[in-house]
Amino acid sequence: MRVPVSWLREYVEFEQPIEEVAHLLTIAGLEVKAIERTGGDWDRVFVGRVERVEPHPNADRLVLATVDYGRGELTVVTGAPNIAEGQKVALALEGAVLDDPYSETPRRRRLKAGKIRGVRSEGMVCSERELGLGGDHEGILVLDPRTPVGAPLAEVLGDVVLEFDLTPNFAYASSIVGIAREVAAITGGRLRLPEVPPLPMADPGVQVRVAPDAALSRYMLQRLDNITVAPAPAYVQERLRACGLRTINNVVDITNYVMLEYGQPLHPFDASRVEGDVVVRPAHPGERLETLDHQVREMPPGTVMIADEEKAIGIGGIMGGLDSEVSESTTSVLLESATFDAPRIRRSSREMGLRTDASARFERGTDPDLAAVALARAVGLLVHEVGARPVGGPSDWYPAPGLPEPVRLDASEIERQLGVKIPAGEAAKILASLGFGTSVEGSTIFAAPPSFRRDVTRPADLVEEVGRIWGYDNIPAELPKGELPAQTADEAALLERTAREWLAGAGLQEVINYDLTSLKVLDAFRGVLSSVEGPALWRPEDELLKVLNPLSTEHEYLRPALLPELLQNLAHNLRHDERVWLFELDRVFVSRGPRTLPDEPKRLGIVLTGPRRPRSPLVREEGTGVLDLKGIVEGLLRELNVSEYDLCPLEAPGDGALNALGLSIGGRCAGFLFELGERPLAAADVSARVAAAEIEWDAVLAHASLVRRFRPFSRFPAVRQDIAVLVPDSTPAESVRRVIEGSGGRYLRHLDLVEIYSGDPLPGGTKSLLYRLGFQADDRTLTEDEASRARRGVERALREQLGARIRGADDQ
Amino acid sequence: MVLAEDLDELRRSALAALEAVGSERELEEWRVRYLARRGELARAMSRLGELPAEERRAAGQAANRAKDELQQAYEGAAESLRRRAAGADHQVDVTLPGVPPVTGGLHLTRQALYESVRIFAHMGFTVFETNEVETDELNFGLLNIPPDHPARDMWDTLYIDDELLLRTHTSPGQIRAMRAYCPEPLRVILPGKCHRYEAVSARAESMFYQIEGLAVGHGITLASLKGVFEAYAQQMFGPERRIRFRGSYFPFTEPSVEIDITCHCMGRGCALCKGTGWLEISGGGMVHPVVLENGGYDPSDVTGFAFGMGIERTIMPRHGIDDIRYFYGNDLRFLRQFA
Repeated sequence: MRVPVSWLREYVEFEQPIEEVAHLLTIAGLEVKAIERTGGDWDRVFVGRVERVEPHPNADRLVLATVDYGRGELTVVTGAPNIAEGQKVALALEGAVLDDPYSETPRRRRLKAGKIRGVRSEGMVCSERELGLGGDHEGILVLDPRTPVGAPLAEVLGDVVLEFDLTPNFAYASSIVGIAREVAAITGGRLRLPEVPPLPMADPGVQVRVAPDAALSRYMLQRLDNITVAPAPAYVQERLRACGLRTINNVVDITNYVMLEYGQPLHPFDASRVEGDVVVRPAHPGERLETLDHQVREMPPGTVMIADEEKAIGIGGIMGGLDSEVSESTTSVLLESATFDAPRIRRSSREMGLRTDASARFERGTDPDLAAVALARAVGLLVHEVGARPVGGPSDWYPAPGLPEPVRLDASEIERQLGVKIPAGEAAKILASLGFGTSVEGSTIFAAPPSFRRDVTRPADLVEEVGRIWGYDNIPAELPKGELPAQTADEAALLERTAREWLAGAGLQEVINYDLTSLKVLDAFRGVLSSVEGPALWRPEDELLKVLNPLSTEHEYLRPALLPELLQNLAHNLRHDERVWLFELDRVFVSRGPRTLPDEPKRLGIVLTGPRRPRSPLVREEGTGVLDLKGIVEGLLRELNVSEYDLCPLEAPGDGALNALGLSIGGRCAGFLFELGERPLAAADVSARVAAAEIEWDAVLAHASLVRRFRPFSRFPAVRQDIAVLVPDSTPAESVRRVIEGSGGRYLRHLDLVEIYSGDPLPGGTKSLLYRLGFQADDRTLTEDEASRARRGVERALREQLGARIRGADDQ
Repeated sequence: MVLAEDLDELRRSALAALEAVGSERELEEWRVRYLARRGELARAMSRLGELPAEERRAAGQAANRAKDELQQAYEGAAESLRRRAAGADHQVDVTLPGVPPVTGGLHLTRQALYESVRIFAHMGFTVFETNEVETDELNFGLLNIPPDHPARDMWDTLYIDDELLLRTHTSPGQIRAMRAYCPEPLRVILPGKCHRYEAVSARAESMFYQIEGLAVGHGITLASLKGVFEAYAQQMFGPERRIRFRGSYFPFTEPSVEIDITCHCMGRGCALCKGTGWLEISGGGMVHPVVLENGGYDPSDVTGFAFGMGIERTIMPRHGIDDIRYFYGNDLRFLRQFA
């Protein structure tokens, strides 16, 4: 909302500089977004009088205007259709800086003299847009005829405008009068509202019937005859422009002027287009009306219509009908001032997709008592400025008049909420300055809200008023008093944090993705590991949660899994990085049907690709694979003390995955570790090998713990013995390990695979696994013999159970 | 006693010569010269027989001592030569680049969340996580924003159906937390993702993290909100920072305030704060009585304060990030700078 300070000063006196007033208003909750000075750069623009208008010798659409600007006369070439002799205009001289009216984005240019179609133009007669006053560029700006010729335009039209960004609770202050009232309360300045003549006391000049189910609380209509439609008085036009409104004609402009002044929208109907009584009623099903903006609209159910005996003439509180619009031929109007139901206006306006200055005000709520004041003010201005003659008195439908109930506030409540003592007398004074009727009894304040403060119904509402005017700057900072709630350590949050930090330490970068993604991204994982029990990596479209009003198709579906977006992250980063190790620990969304809150389980997703270590001439290069992933997951599970888990190879996972492992925790498959197959890679346009994991976090949490138990270890040395096991390539290392563990006896405490070898001189199709066994007792040092005996037992078992050969022992 | 003097002289010159030895070859030459079977020491000792018998014994002992001493000196020198040679093998060009360690990191948002949670934890606040998909009732209705309320314009909303939506703020968590704790006093921090139907630009994202704080109990006032928030701001952004309250409006708090923090320019005025010296960081206020009731509390018995802030915009100035879209673009060139 724009408030010209010159207008504001008519209604409130204040001595503080405008910057300080703007600051005080902002602290009190009425945010001044900008202080704008119009005319600050009109250095070379003056008020001129058009002396002569002559045809251009070489162009039909152009004219030559001779303009007197006090210091002489200039001839300018212009195409303005509305230029006429005798007008007062804004004349820009060479060198003036003006807005470029043809530029889409704000741009300024310096005026140069030049020839237009062979005739020299020595200056320019300006439009509103060129002066930065508003949107109109159809013709030149015509000034008040009383404006002195030769005056710098800045002195005539220049002003300071406060640009407000008001929150919805300040509906009552969204007007010049409303802001003036706030300024008076904050600065202590004197309020001086306009004198409003009373409405005529006579039988209504027009009859109104209001249907019982029409959503409104007051409807007033006043007939005015003897109307001559013409441009509005210059001060009205200038103020409308300063506030950012277009000027139309005297009747419409005066109703808009009163709307800006008081915040009450008014609407004039051309009386000659209205047959009989006016009826206010809900729209008929499918009812249509052509509105002022030349659109034929269908009314949503419940919309309040203004109609006559035959047809609708306007949409109540939103926009008038085109047929009853005030036009040049209008001689008589019906002027409406009403209080429509705010939620109803809001709903109709939304459903219609039509928001107007009027509807924006009505949907925030207006004061029914104000309807009468604004109507009286507008009638007064129309009588005075247009010569209108009221016919009878206003029709006034106001079934439930009355003021809001007084509210009781104890001063102790102010302290309980704000943490500062404000005496009852002081609080009452503040409330009185805001228009409340107040009385004080001891520490109790009785505050009767004025009619425009129907939002104040409880003590907390009064506390806010007192607090914001008293000044939030004056509230001290202190730590909370009172009891401290019982403190609980949130183990789940700690475990989550431990996991993230451990993964970061293991060389993975955390990412955070949008919850919303696209079908295309999700589809890369269609069918991947879908036949195996475990976390779903893909779900069909009808099982997904979809946003009704997505911003774009890229953010349309709530993700059912983490890997699809992680793969996108990986593909993106591969464009400029070769080693991409990412993880994400966050929610996925699983629908439980419409209108039912979905499950939001957390998952851990990992993708790895590229060299195992950052590139260096000193490090042998090795690519990341699924075994890196396995090591990371096992390391993490160990960190979180998850011991009851199992990692088993998965059978036949299709073309979406290879080298897959299932992670079972507590006997249930809770995750997959695998290498991405051809299909997902192709979908993401990735040619590198990618290891990926997705794990249900709740399953990890259920078996995780932050507390570790001490496990005693032997103080006696271990005896190391190596076994090189020769087995067919197809024998899983896990089987060998199991046999060794099963046969090593009670002293086998350490078992490490230290080397894998195949090739010369081993027979084709075989591999040699070198295990280092450590034998150890708790109560003594084992002898070499005891260790060798145990080792030979292991060797026997390997031969018998796996048909393995023991290199060294069986070679001879 | 000529022989004894000669021996002493020999010992001294041999040791001096050994000092100058710098290589295996020189050491061998030294050994041949002094210690070998035909070396100088052997030759000197061969003259022992020329001595009278009563002197021979003492001279022999002296000669043996000299021999042992030289032998030891020789071995010492040999050992030190070997070490030096080995040292040369281990020589590294230390101007080579260091071997890069494998490093990862937490997302910048996560770091800020954890940092904030830690600071609030010191003031007795615990983390309380709630749903991201919410009901209209929780996100709006119970927060004193009925349908068709003009305040709904303050949150452009992404809807799932006519009852479900993506939470536009972490505030529905207030109701859930109150219902979980009531009638006990509570102090919770509600961190989480929020969503808005908002065109994405350098300053605005459709998804962002909010941290909501809520305290309910006796002695909770607007002044204590100021104290808690100032303590947070000073630990998060520096002890010289100040905060101020500005009147505002949220349907679920009354009074409502915007919380501003002094700008990084410390009041000198810069482009970031548009010359005002203040940056808007958070919104909050005293929990509205209707909301306290919806949470199960008696507003005549307890009071509450609440605040909420967007994490990304709050930390962008601190790191000099000028475009919010970097946060969830997940580009390693961005993320690694903060890892």
